[in-house]
Amino acid sequence: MLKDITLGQYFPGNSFIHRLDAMIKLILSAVYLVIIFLIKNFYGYGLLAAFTLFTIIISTVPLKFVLKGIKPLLWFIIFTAILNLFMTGGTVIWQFGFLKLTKEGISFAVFMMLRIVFLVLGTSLLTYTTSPIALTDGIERLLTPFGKMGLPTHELAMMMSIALRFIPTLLEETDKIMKAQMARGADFQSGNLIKRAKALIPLLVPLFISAFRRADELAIAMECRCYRGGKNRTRLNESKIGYPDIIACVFVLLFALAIISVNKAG
Amino acid sequence: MIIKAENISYTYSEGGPFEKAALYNVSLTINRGDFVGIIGHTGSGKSTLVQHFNGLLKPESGRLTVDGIDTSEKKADLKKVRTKVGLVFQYPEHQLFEETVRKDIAFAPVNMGLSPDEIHDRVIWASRLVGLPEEILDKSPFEISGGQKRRAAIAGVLAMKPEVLVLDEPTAGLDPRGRDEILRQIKKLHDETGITVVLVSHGMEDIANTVNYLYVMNNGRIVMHGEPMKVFSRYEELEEMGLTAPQVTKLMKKLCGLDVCTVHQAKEYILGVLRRA
Repeated sequence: MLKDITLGQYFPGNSFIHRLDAMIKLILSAVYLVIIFLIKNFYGYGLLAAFTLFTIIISTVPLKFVLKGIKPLLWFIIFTAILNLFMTGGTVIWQFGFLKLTKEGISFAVFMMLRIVFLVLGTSLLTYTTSPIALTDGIERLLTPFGKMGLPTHELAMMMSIALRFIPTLLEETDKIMKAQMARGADFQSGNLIKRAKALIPLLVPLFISAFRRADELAIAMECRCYRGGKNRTRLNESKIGYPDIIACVFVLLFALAIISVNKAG
Repeated sequence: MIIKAENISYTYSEGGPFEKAALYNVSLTINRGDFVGIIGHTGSGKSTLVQHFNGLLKPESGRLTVDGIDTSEKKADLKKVRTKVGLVFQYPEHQLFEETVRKDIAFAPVNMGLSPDEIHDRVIWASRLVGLPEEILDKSPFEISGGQKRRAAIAGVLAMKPEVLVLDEPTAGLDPRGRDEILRQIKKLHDETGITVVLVSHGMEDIANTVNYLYVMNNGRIVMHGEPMKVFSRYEELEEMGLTAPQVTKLMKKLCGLDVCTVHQAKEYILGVLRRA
Protein backbone atom coordinates (compact mmCIF):
# COMPACT_ATOMS: atom_id res chain seq x y z
CA MET A 1 0.00 0.00 0.00
CA LEU A 2 2.60 2.52 1.10
CA LYS A 3 4.97 1.47 -1.63
CA ASP A 4 2.55 2.84 -4.24
CA ILE A 5 3.10 6.45 -3.27
CA THR A 6 5.87 7.61 -5.55
CA LEU A 7 5.21 11.34 -5.78
CA GLY A 8 8.04 13.36 -4.33
CA GLN A 9 10.65 10.66 -4.64
CA TYR A 10 13.95 11.26 -6.31
CA PHE A 11 15.30 8.71 -8.76
CA PRO A 12 19.04 9.33 -8.89
CA GLY A 13 20.65 9.47 -12.31
CA ASN A 14 22.80 11.54 -14.63
CA SER A 15 20.67 11.90 -17.74
CA PHE A 16 20.14 15.03 -19.84
CA ILE A 17 16.94 15.72 -17.89
CA HIS A 18 18.67 15.19 -14.54
CA ARG A 19 21.34 17.73 -15.39
CA LEU A 20 18.96 20.48 -16.49
CA ASP A 21 18.81 23.52 -14.27
CA ALA A 22 16.06 23.09 -11.66
CA MET A 23 14.52 26.50 -12.30
CA ILE A 24 14.35 25.86 -16.04
CA LYS A 25 12.86 22.44 -15.36
CA LEU A 26 10.20 24.01 -13.14
CA ILE A 27 9.30 26.58 -15.79
CA LEU A 28 9.21 23.93 -18.52
CA SER A 29 7.01 21.72 -16.33
CA ALA A 30 4.62 24.64 -15.87
CA VAL A 31 4.60 25.16 -19.64
CA TYR A 32 3.93 21.44 -20.07
CA LEU A 33 0.94 21.68 -17.71
CA VAL A 34 -0.45 24.64 -19.63
CA ILE A 35 0.00 22.74 -22.89
CA ILE A 36 -2.00 19.80 -21.49
CA PHE A 37 -4.97 22.08 -21.01
CA LEU A 38 -4.57 23.77 -24.38
CA ILE A 39 -4.98 20.58 -26.35
CA LYS A 40 -8.32 20.37 -28.10
CA ASN A 41 -8.23 17.10 -30.08
CA PHE A 42 -6.85 13.58 -30.04
CA TYR A 43 -4.02 14.39 -32.48
CA GLY A 44 -2.76 16.76 -29.82
CA TYR A 45 -2.88 14.04 -27.18
CA GLY A 46 -1.02 11.71 -29.51
CA LEU A 47 1.70 14.32 -29.85
CA LEU A 48 1.68 14.87 -26.07
CA ALA A 49 2.03 11.13 -25.43
CA ALA A 50 4.95 10.95 -27.84
CA PHE A 51 6.64 13.95 -26.21
CA THR A 52 6.10 12.58 -22.68
CA LEU A 53 7.36 9.13 -23.65
CA PHE A 54 10.42 10.66 -25.29
CA THR A 55 11.22 12.68 -22.16
CA ILE A 56 10.76 9.66 -19.91
CA ILE A 57 13.07 7.59 -22.12
CA ILE A 58 15.89 10.14 -22.11
CA SER A 59 15.46 10.61 -18.36
CA THR A 60 16.45 6.91 -17.88
CA VAL A 61 13.76 6.54 -15.19
CA PRO A 62 12.05 3.18 -15.91
CA LEU A 63 8.62 3.71 -17.50
CA LYS A 64 7.12 1.16 -15.09
CA PHE A 65 8.27 3.32 -12.21
CA VAL A 66 6.74 6.52 -13.61
CA LEU A 67 3.44 4.77 -14.34
CA LYS A 68 3.26 3.52 -10.78
CA GLY A 69 2.55 7.11 -9.72
CA ILE A 70 -0.89 6.89 -11.33
CA LYS A 71 -1.99 3.89 -9.28
CA PRO A 72 -2.97 5.73 -6.08
CA LEU A 73 -5.00 8.19 -8.19
CA LEU A 74 -6.85 5.49 -10.11
CA TRP A 75 -10.13 5.92 -8.22
CA PHE A 76 -9.95 9.67 -8.48
CA ILE A 77 -9.46 9.40 -12.24
CA ILE A 78 -12.35 6.95 -12.63
CA PHE A 79 -14.61 9.14 -10.49
CA THR A 80 -13.80 12.26 -12.53
CA ALA A 81 -14.39 10.38 -15.76
CA ILE A 82 -17.79 9.08 -14.60
CA LEU A 83 -18.87 12.54 -13.44
CA ASN A 84 -17.90 14.07 -16.76
CA LEU A 85 -19.49 11.22 -18.66
CA PHE A 86 -22.97 11.90 -17.29
CA MET A 87 -22.87 15.56 -16.37
CA THR A 88 -21.96 17.02 -19.76
CA GLY A 89 -24.82 18.31 -21.85
CA GLY A 90 -25.05 17.74 -25.63
CA THR A 91 -26.32 15.22 -28.12
CA VAL A 92 -27.90 12.36 -26.16
CA ILE A 93 -26.88 8.91 -27.32
CA TRP A 94 -28.34 6.78 -24.52
CA GLN A 95 -30.63 7.59 -21.63
CA PHE A 96 -31.63 5.74 -18.49
CA GLY A 97 -33.77 7.73 -16.07
CA PHE A 98 -31.82 10.84 -15.14
CA LEU A 99 -28.56 9.38 -16.50
CA LYS A 100 -27.81 10.85 -19.89
CA LEU A 101 -24.91 9.72 -21.98
CA THR A 102 -23.89 12.35 -24.49
CA LYS A 103 -21.40 12.36 -27.32
CA GLU A 104 -19.70 15.40 -25.82
CA GLY A 105 -19.68 13.66 -22.43
CA ILE A 106 -17.70 10.72 -23.74
CA SER A 107 -15.03 12.80 -25.41
CA PHE A 108 -14.85 15.15 -22.41
CA ALA A 109 -14.46 12.23 -19.98
CA VAL A 110 -11.65 10.77 -22.05
CA PHE A 111 -9.98 14.21 -22.26
CA MET A 112 -10.21 14.60 -18.48
CA MET A 113 -8.69 11.18 -17.84
CA LEU A 114 -5.85 11.86 -20.25
CA ARG A 115 -5.25 15.27 -18.68
CA ILE A 116 -4.95 13.88 -15.16
CA VAL A 117 -2.72 11.03 -16.29
CA PHE A 118 -0.34 13.37 -18.13
CA LEU A 119 -0.46 15.86 -15.27
CA VAL A 120 0.78 13.17 -12.88
CA LEU A 121 3.34 11.81 -15.34
CA GLY A 122 4.81 15.24 -16.04
CA THR A 123 5.02 16.37 -12.43
CA SER A 124 6.34 13.06 -11.15
CA LEU A 125 9.03 13.14 -13.82
CA LEU A 126 10.05 16.52 -12.43
CA THR A 127 10.43 15.19 -8.90
CA TYR A 128 12.03 11.95 -10.09
CA THR A 129 14.79 13.78 -11.93
CA THR A 130 15.37 16.67 -9.54
CA SER A 131 16.78 16.16 -6.08
CA PRO A 132 14.76 17.93 -3.36
CA ILE A 133 17.63 20.34 -2.74
CA ALA A 134 17.88 21.34 -6.39
CA LEU A 135 14.13 21.65 -6.57
CA THR A 136 13.86 24.08 -3.68
CA ASP A 137 16.79 25.98 -5.04
CA GLY A 138 14.87 26.31 -8.28
CA ILE A 139 11.70 27.38 -6.50
CA GLU A 140 13.59 29.95 -4.51
CA ARG A 141 15.18 31.50 -7.58
CA LEU A 142 11.85 31.43 -9.35
CA LEU A 143 10.27 33.35 -6.48
CA THR A 144 13.05 35.96 -6.20
CA PRO A 145 10.99 38.72 -7.88
CA PHE A 146 8.31 38.25 -5.23
CA GLY A 147 10.93 38.39 -2.53
CA LYS A 148 11.40 42.07 -3.34
CA MET A 149 7.72 42.51 -2.61
CA GLY A 150 8.17 41.09 0.90
CA LEU A 151 7.45 37.41 0.30
CA PRO A 152 9.68 35.26 2.55
CA THR A 153 10.91 33.21 -0.40
CA HIS A 154 13.79 31.52 1.32
CA GLU A 155 11.63 30.39 4.22
CA LEU A 156 8.97 29.07 1.89
CA ALA A 157 11.54 27.18 -0.14
CA MET A 158 13.10 25.77 3.03
CA MET A 159 9.72 24.62 4.31
CA MET A 160 9.02 22.89 1.04
CA SER A 161 12.35 21.16 0.90
CA ILE A 162 11.95 19.94 4.46
CA ALA A 163 8.47 18.63 3.67
CA LEU A 164 9.74 16.83 0.56
CA ARG A 165 12.75 15.52 2.40
CA PHE A 166 10.59 13.95 5.10
CA ILE A 167 8.12 12.16 2.85
CA PRO A 168 10.23 8.98 2.57
CA THR A 169 11.25 9.18 6.22
CA LEU A 170 7.66 9.39 7.40
CA LEU A 171 6.64 6.59 5.06
CA GLU A 172 9.36 4.41 6.52
CA GLU A 173 8.25 5.35 10.01
CA THR A 174 4.62 4.53 9.17
CA ASP A 175 5.68 1.18 7.83
CA LYS A 176 7.63 0.43 10.98
CA ILE A 177 4.85 1.41 13.37
CA MET A 178 2.30 -0.51 11.32
CA LYS A 179 4.45 -3.60 11.56
CA ALA A 180 4.97 -3.12 15.29
CA GLN A 181 1.22 -2.87 15.86
CA MET A 182 0.54 -5.78 13.55
CA ALA A 183 2.96 -7.80 15.66
CA ARG A 184 0.58 -7.05 18.53
CA GLY A 185 -2.41 -8.29 16.57
CA ALA A 186 -3.61 -4.99 15.07
CA ASP A 187 -5.61 -5.42 11.89
CA PHE A 188 -5.58 -2.58 9.36
CA GLN A 189 -7.12 -4.37 6.45
CA SER A 190 -10.46 -5.83 7.47
CA GLY A 191 -13.72 -4.63 8.97
CA ASN A 192 -16.08 -1.83 7.99
CA LEU A 193 -15.19 1.83 7.56
CA ILE A 194 -15.62 2.81 11.23
CA LYS A 195 -13.63 -0.18 12.41
CA ARG A 196 -10.84 0.64 9.97
CA ALA A 197 -10.77 4.28 11.00
CA LYS A 198 -10.50 3.22 14.64
CA ALA A 199 -7.71 0.81 13.74
CA LEU A 200 -5.70 3.79 12.54
CA ILE A 201 -5.41 5.33 16.03
CA PRO A 202 -2.56 3.02 17.11
CA LEU A 203 -0.78 4.11 13.94
CA LEU A 204 -1.51 7.84 13.91
CA VAL A 205 -0.73 8.66 17.55
CA PRO A 206 2.85 7.31 17.44
CA LEU A 207 3.32 8.78 13.98
CA PHE A 208 2.35 12.29 15.09
CA ILE A 209 4.53 12.04 18.18
CA SER A 210 7.50 10.97 16.13
CA ALA A 211 6.87 13.68 13.53
CA PHE A 212 6.86 16.34 16.25
CA ARG A 213 9.98 14.85 17.80
CA ARG A 214 11.72 14.87 14.44
CA ALA A 215 10.69 18.46 13.79
CA ASP A 216 12.03 19.47 17.16
CA GLU A 217 15.32 17.65 16.63
CA LEU A 218 15.71 19.15 13.18
CA ALA A 219 15.09 22.67 14.49
CA ILE A 220 17.74 22.21 17.15
CA ALA A 221 20.22 20.73 14.67
CA MET A 222 19.67 23.68 12.33
CA GLU A 223 20.15 26.19 15.12
CA CYS A 224 23.31 24.37 16.22
CA ARG A 225 24.71 25.05 12.77
CA CYS A 226 23.78 28.71 13.05
CA TYR A 227 21.01 28.58 10.52
CA ARG A 228 19.27 31.84 9.87
CA GLY A 229 17.01 32.94 7.05
CA GLY A 230 17.88 33.69 3.46
CA LYS A 231 19.54 37.06 3.44
CA ASN A 232 23.22 36.99 2.48
CA ARG A 233 23.29 33.20 2.44
CA THR A 234 25.55 31.86 -0.26
CA ARG A 235 25.29 28.53 -1.98
CA LEU A 236 27.61 25.57 -2.13
CA ASN A 237 26.66 24.82 -5.73
CA GLU A 238 25.83 27.84 -7.83
CA SER A 239 23.81 26.52 -10.72
CA LYS A 240 24.32 28.13 -14.09
CA ILE A 241 22.05 28.04 -17.08
CA GLY A 242 23.91 26.40 -19.95
CA TYR A 243 23.42 25.11 -23.48
CA PRO A 244 21.42 22.01 -22.47
CA ASP A 245 18.89 24.29 -20.78
CA ILE A 246 18.57 26.42 -23.89
CA ILE A 247 18.16 23.29 -26.05
CA ALA A 248 15.43 22.02 -23.71
CA CYS A 249 13.62 25.38 -23.84
CA VAL A 250 13.73 25.48 -27.63
CA PHE A 251 12.50 21.90 -27.78
CA VAL A 252 9.52 22.58 -25.50
CA LEU A 253 8.75 25.77 -27.43
CA LEU A 254 8.68 23.80 -30.69
CA PHE A 255 6.42 21.28 -29.01
CA ALA A 256 4.05 24.03 -27.88
CA LEU A 257 3.95 25.47 -31.42
CA ALA A 258 3.27 22.00 -32.81
CA ILE A 259 0.35 21.57 -30.41
CA ILE A 260 -1.10 24.94 -31.37
CA SER A 261 -0.91 24.16 -35.08
CA VAL A 262 -2.43 20.69 -34.54
CA ASN A 263 -5.24 22.35 -32.57
CA LYS A 264 -6.05 24.50 -35.59
CA ALA A 265 -5.92 21.48 -37.91
CA GLY A 266 -8.41 19.51 -35.85
CA MET B 1 11.94 -27.02 16.67
CA ILE B 2 9.66 -23.99 16.64
CA ILE B 3 11.10 -21.82 13.87
CA LYS B 4 12.68 -23.27 10.80
CA ALA B 5 13.93 -21.25 7.85
CA GLU B 6 15.03 -23.02 4.70
CA ASN B 7 16.97 -21.02 2.10
CA ILE B 8 14.92 -17.87 2.49
CA SER B 9 15.73 -14.79 0.39
CA TYR B 10 14.21 -11.33 0.46
CA THR B 11 14.71 -8.14 -1.59
CA TYR B 12 13.55 -4.64 -0.66
CA SER B 13 11.73 -2.43 -3.21
CA GLU B 14 12.21 -4.87 -6.03
CA GLY B 15 12.58 -3.19 -9.40
CA GLY B 16 13.01 0.29 -7.89
CA PRO B 17 16.11 2.45 -7.88
CA PHE B 18 16.98 1.44 -4.34
CA GLU B 19 16.61 -2.29 -4.84
CA LYS B 20 18.55 -4.08 -2.15
CA ALA B 21 18.93 -7.76 -1.40
CA ALA B 22 18.49 -8.03 2.34
CA LEU B 23 18.54 -11.79 2.77
CA TYR B 24 20.27 -14.38 0.71
CA ASN B 25 19.68 -18.11 1.16
CA VAL B 26 19.34 -18.02 4.91
CA SER B 27 18.67 -21.26 6.74
CA LEU B 28 18.37 -21.70 10.46
CA THR B 29 16.47 -23.61 13.08
CA ILE B 30 15.44 -22.43 16.50
CA ASN B 31 14.44 -25.05 19.02
CA ARG B 32 11.97 -24.70 21.83
CA GLY B 33 13.56 -23.25 24.95
CA ASP B 34 16.63 -21.96 23.13
CA PHE B 35 18.22 -18.61 23.87
CA VAL B 36 19.53 -17.61 20.47
CA GLY B 37 21.56 -14.54 19.59
CA ILE B 38 21.84 -12.91 16.17
CA ILE B 39 24.65 -10.44 15.60
CA GLY B 40 25.71 -8.46 12.56
CA HIS B 41 26.50 -4.86 11.75
CA THR B 42 23.84 -2.34 10.67
CA GLY B 43 22.29 -3.38 7.38
CA SER B 44 23.40 -7.00 7.56
CA GLY B 45 19.81 -8.24 7.35
CA LYS B 46 19.17 -9.07 11.01
CA SER B 47 16.00 -7.02 11.31
CA THR B 48 14.69 -8.31 7.98
CA LEU B 49 15.30 -11.85 9.14
CA VAL B 50 13.42 -11.48 12.43
CA GLN B 51 10.46 -9.87 10.66
CA HIS B 52 10.09 -13.17 8.82
CA PHE B 53 9.77 -15.02 12.11
CA ASN B 54 6.24 -13.76 12.72
CA GLY B 55 5.07 -13.45 9.14
CA LEU B 56 5.37 -9.65 8.81
CA LEU B 57 7.57 -10.31 5.81
CA LYS B 58 7.25 -13.36 3.63
CA PRO B 59 10.25 -14.93 1.95
CA GLU B 60 10.52 -14.40 -1.80
CA SER B 61 11.96 -17.85 -2.13
CA GLY B 62 12.48 -20.59 0.36
CA ARG B 63 10.24 -21.62 3.21
CA LEU B 64 9.74 -20.48 6.76
CA THR B 65 7.69 -22.48 9.22
CA VAL B 66 6.61 -21.47 12.70
CA ASP B 67 5.48 -24.44 14.77
CA GLY B 68 4.63 -26.23 11.53
CA ILE B 69 2.74 -23.29 9.94
CA ASP B 70 4.20 -22.18 6.61
CA THR B 71 3.96 -18.36 6.62
CA SER B 72 3.97 -18.10 2.79
CA GLU B 73 0.85 -20.19 2.43
CA LYS B 74 -2.25 -18.23 1.44
CA LYS B 75 -4.38 -19.80 4.14
CA ALA B 76 -1.72 -19.42 6.83
CA ASP B 77 -3.20 -18.04 10.06
CA LEU B 78 -0.82 -15.11 10.49
CA LYS B 79 -2.62 -13.82 13.57
CA LYS B 80 -1.87 -17.12 15.25
CA VAL B 81 1.74 -16.96 14.11
CA ARG B 82 2.04 -13.45 15.56
CA THR B 83 0.75 -14.55 18.95
CA LYS B 84 3.14 -17.49 18.95
CA VAL B 85 6.12 -15.31 18.04
CA GLY B 86 6.13 -12.01 19.91
CA LEU B 87 8.32 -9.50 18.10
CA VAL B 88 9.70 -6.50 19.96
CA PHE B 89 10.95 -3.94 17.45
CA GLN B 90 13.90 -1.61 17.80
CA TYR B 91 12.93 1.35 19.96
CA PRO B 92 9.62 -0.33 20.84
CA GLU B 93 8.59 2.68 22.96
CA HIS B 94 7.82 4.49 19.68
CA GLN B 95 4.76 2.30 19.27
CA LEU B 96 3.09 3.34 22.56
CA PHE B 97 -0.17 5.19 21.89
CA GLU B 98 -2.76 4.59 24.60
CA GLU B 99 -3.84 6.92 27.40
CA THR B 100 -2.44 4.69 30.11
CA VAL B 101 0.33 2.13 30.28
CA ARG B 102 -2.27 -0.43 31.37
CA LYS B 103 -4.34 0.09 28.22
CA ASP B 104 -1.27 -0.06 26.04
CA ILE B 105 -0.11 -3.38 27.46
CA ALA B 106 -3.68 -4.63 27.04
CA PHE B 107 -3.71 -3.75 23.32
CA ALA B 108 -2.53 -7.16 22.12
CA PRO B 109 -4.74 -9.21 24.50
CA VAL B 110 -7.74 -7.10 23.44
CA ASN B 111 -6.92 -7.80 19.79
CA MET B 112 -6.77 -11.50 20.69
CA GLY B 113 -10.37 -11.23 21.92
CA LEU B 114 -9.69 -12.36 25.50
CA SER B 115 -12.10 -11.85 28.41
CA PRO B 116 -11.66 -8.71 30.59
CA ASP B 117 -10.51 -10.83 33.56
CA GLU B 118 -7.93 -12.63 31.47
CA ILE B 119 -6.74 -9.31 30.02
CA HIS B 120 -6.35 -7.85 33.50
CA ASP B 121 -4.38 -10.91 34.69
CA ARG B 122 -2.12 -10.78 31.68
CA VAL B 123 -1.38 -7.07 32.09
CA ILE B 124 -0.37 -7.63 35.72
CA TRP B 125 1.62 -10.74 34.79
CA ALA B 126 3.49 -9.06 31.94
CA SER B 127 4.27 -5.87 33.83
CA ARG B 128 5.63 -7.91 36.73
CA LEU B 129 7.85 -9.91 34.37
CA VAL B 130 9.47 -6.78 33.02
CA GLY B 131 9.68 -5.20 36.48
CA LEU B 132 7.21 -2.37 36.02
CA PRO B 133 5.78 -1.18 39.36
CA GLU B 134 1.99 -1.35 39.49
CA GLU B 135 1.48 2.34 40.24
CA ILE B 136 2.93 3.18 36.83
CA LEU B 137 0.19 1.27 35.04
CA ASP B 138 -2.28 4.15 35.36
CA LYS B 139 0.13 6.81 34.17
CA SER B 140 0.34 8.02 30.59
CA PRO B 141 3.01 6.15 28.63
CA PHE B 142 4.40 9.55 27.63
CA GLU B 143 5.21 10.75 31.12
CA ILE B 144 7.28 7.80 32.35
CA SER B 145 11.05 7.46 31.93
CA GLY B 146 12.80 6.05 28.87
CA GLY B 147 13.68 2.75 30.51
CA GLN B 148 10.14 2.35 31.80
CA LYS B 149 8.72 3.09 28.35
CA ARG B 150 10.91 0.35 26.92
CA ARG B 151 9.70 -2.11 29.55
CA ALA B 152 6.07 -1.14 29.00
CA ALA B 153 6.50 -1.80 25.28
CA ILE B 154 8.12 -5.18 25.92
CA ALA B 155 5.31 -6.03 28.35
CA GLY B 156 2.86 -5.16 25.57
CA VAL B 157 4.31 -8.00 23.50
CA LEU B 158 4.72 -10.42 26.42
CA ALA B 159 1.01 -10.00 27.25
CA MET B 160 0.27 -12.20 24.24
CA LYS B 161 2.05 -15.01 26.13
CA PRO B 162 4.09 -15.84 23.04
CA GLU B 163 6.03 -19.09 22.77
CA VAL B 164 8.97 -17.26 21.22
CA LEU B 165 10.07 -13.77 22.18
CA VAL B 166 12.12 -11.99 19.53
CA LEU B 167 13.85 -8.79 20.61
CA ASP B 168 15.46 -6.52 18.03
CA GLU B 169 18.16 -4.52 19.80
CA PRO B 170 16.26 -4.26 23.08
CA THR B 171 19.04 -2.30 24.75
CA ALA B 172 19.70 0.31 22.04
CA GLY B 173 19.83 3.82 23.43
CA LEU B 174 19.60 2.79 27.09
CA ASP B 175 22.11 3.74 29.77
CA PRO B 176 24.31 0.92 31.18
CA ARG B 177 22.04 0.37 34.15
CA GLY B 178 18.89 0.23 32.03
CA ARG B 179 20.66 -2.13 29.66
CA ASP B 180 21.75 -4.52 32.40
CA GLU B 181 18.31 -4.52 33.96
CA ILE B 182 16.51 -5.30 30.70
CA LEU B 183 18.97 -8.10 29.89
CA ARG B 184 18.72 -9.54 33.39
CA GLN B 185 14.96 -9.57 33.16
CA ILE B 186 14.98 -11.25 29.76
CA LYS B 187 17.35 -13.90 31.09
CA LYS B 188 15.17 -14.38 34.17
CA LEU B 189 12.10 -14.68 31.97
CA HIS B 190 13.82 -17.36 29.92
CA ASP B 191 14.97 -19.30 32.97
CA GLU B 192 11.63 -19.13 34.77
CA THR B 193 9.13 -19.69 31.99
CA GLY B 194 11.22 -21.67 29.53
CA ILE B 195 10.18 -19.29 26.74
CA THR B 196 12.29 -19.36 23.57
CA VAL B 197 14.19 -16.10 23.16
CA VAL B 198 15.85 -14.64 20.07
CA LEU B 199 18.04 -11.65 20.87
CA VAL B 200 19.30 -9.40 18.09
CA SER B 201 22.11 -7.14 19.17
CA HIS B 202 25.44 -5.66 18.38
CA GLY B 203 26.50 -5.42 21.95
CA MET B 204 28.87 -8.36 22.14
CA GLU B 205 28.98 -8.35 25.93
CA ASP B 206 25.15 -8.52 26.06
CA ILE B 207 25.16 -11.55 23.82
CA ALA B 208 28.06 -13.37 25.47
CA ASN B 209 26.44 -13.19 28.87
CA THR B 210 23.04 -14.50 27.86
CA VAL B 211 22.68 -16.63 24.74
CA ASN B 212 23.49 -20.30 24.29
CA TYR B 213 23.61 -20.29 20.50
CA LEU B 214 24.76 -17.58 18.16
CA TYR B 215 24.24 -16.69 14.50
CA VAL B 216 26.45 -14.11 12.79
CA MET B 217 25.05 -12.26 9.78
CA ASN B 218 26.95 -10.37 7.12
CA ASN B 219 25.56 -8.93 3.84
CA GLY B 220 22.32 -10.85 4.16
CA ARG B 221 23.90 -14.22 4.81
CA ILE B 222 24.59 -16.29 7.88
CA VAL B 223 28.36 -16.54 7.92
CA MET B 224 29.02 -18.23 11.24
CA HIS B 225 27.01 -20.04 13.85
CA GLY B 226 27.69 -22.02 16.96
CA GLU B 227 28.12 -21.59 20.67
CA PRO B 228 29.11 -18.03 21.59
CA MET B 229 32.52 -19.09 22.83
CA LYS B 230 33.33 -20.84 19.57
CA VAL B 231 32.12 -17.91 17.49
CA PHE B 232 33.95 -15.32 19.56
CA SER B 233 37.18 -17.31 19.43
CA ARG B 234 37.27 -16.40 15.73
CA TYR B 235 37.28 -12.72 16.55
CA GLU B 236 39.74 -11.81 13.80
CA GLU B 237 37.11 -12.83 11.24
CA LEU B 238 34.44 -10.97 13.19
CA GLU B 239 36.55 -7.84 13.14
CA GLU B 240 36.88 -8.05 9.35
CA MET B 241 33.08 -7.84 9.20
CA GLY B 242 33.02 -4.74 11.38
CA LEU B 243 32.04 -6.72 14.47
CA THR B 244 34.07 -7.59 17.48
CA ALA B 245 34.27 -10.03 20.36
CA PRO B 246 33.77 -9.15 24.03
CA GLN B 247 36.84 -7.38 25.35
CA VAL B 248 37.38 -10.08 27.93
CA THR B 249 37.67 -12.67 25.14
CA LYS B 250 40.44 -10.68 23.49
CA LEU B 251 42.15 -10.09 26.82
CA MET B 252 42.14 -13.75 27.82
CA LYS B 253 43.35 -14.78 24.38
CA LYS B 254 46.32 -12.44 24.74
CA LEU B 255 46.97 -13.47 28.34
CA CYS B 256 46.86 -17.21 27.96
CA GLY B 257 45.40 -18.16 24.57
CA LEU B 258 42.18 -19.29 26.17
CA ASP B 259 38.67 -19.05 24.70
CA VAL B 260 36.49 -17.29 27.21
CA CYS B 261 33.55 -15.03 26.55
CA THR B 262 32.23 -13.77 29.87
CA VAL B 263 33.87 -11.86 32.66
CA HIS B 264 32.60 -14.48 35.07
CA GLN B 265 34.46 -17.30 33.31
CA ALA B 266 37.60 -15.20 33.14
CA LYS B 267 37.37 -14.47 36.86
CA GLU B 268 37.01 -18.16 37.71
CA TYR B 269 40.02 -19.03 35.57
CA ILE B 270 42.25 -16.28 36.96
CA LEU B 271 41.27 -17.15 40.51
CA GLY B 272 42.12 -20.79 39.79
CA VAL B 273 45.57 -19.79 38.56
CA LEU B 274 46.13 -17.55 41.59
CA ARG B 275 45.14 -20.32 43.99
CA ARG B 276 47.54 -22.74 42.37
CA ALA B 277 50.29 -20.14 42.63
